[in-house]
Amino acid sequence: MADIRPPHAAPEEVTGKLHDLLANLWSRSQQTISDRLDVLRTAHRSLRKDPADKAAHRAGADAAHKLAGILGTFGLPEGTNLARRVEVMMESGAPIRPFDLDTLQRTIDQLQQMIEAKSKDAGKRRA
Amino acid sequence: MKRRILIIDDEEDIRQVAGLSLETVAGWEVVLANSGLQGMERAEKERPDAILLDVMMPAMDGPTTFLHLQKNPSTAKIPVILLTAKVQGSDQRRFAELGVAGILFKPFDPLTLSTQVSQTLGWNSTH
Repeated sequence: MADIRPPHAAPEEVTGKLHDLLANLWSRSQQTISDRLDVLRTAHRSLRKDPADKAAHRAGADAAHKLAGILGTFGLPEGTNLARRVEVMMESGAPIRPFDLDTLQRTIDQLQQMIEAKSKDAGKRRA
Repeated sequence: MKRRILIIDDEEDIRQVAGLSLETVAGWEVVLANSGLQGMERAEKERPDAILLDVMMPAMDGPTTFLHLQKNPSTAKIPVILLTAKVQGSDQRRFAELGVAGILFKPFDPLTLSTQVSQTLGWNSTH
């Protein structure tokens, strides 16, 4: 949990304990986070076929919204920013242009890489 | 006396992180609910000192849950803080007009969440 800002009130032992608990919770949240990334990829594939697919827009925006809410809390503020970008692209429901679909794919890829890097880092710390 | 906080959020990882944060950093007692309906039941039974209420939930969203809590005499006076990943000003104004005690944003910093709650509610100390 290297990205958590230093506390202005919590004593050091409390900070350390919270870091450990959050690291453990991050490991347990991997499946949920991975499922949300899968929803984004599925929505993206559907939008390639039909850029106006309302169900894909809704499912993608919802998954991106949830990722935006949790990633920063786990110390990935840039993950929150990327997820918000995806949410904004999908939530309007307007047909997505081919150029924007490419951007969407790159953003989802970046998001996945960032999450995998954090998980690898967390694994090394535990080892 | 130890403060008791009810967290209502459909996302398990958010409930867990917020709960760990408030218990570990502030030493508060935390009660969890995974839906607006369950939250209303827990609020009536547990009589928390405050409620952290997610905005976007399926079936019954945060604003609707808040209005139900307000209508029930046994929960009407419990201060409610909305928790949202929505960053647009129009959403924030709409939430503020409901009459909630405050709005906190996801992602939150687990180390300072209890301080933010205390400041929002005008509590002098986190304990």
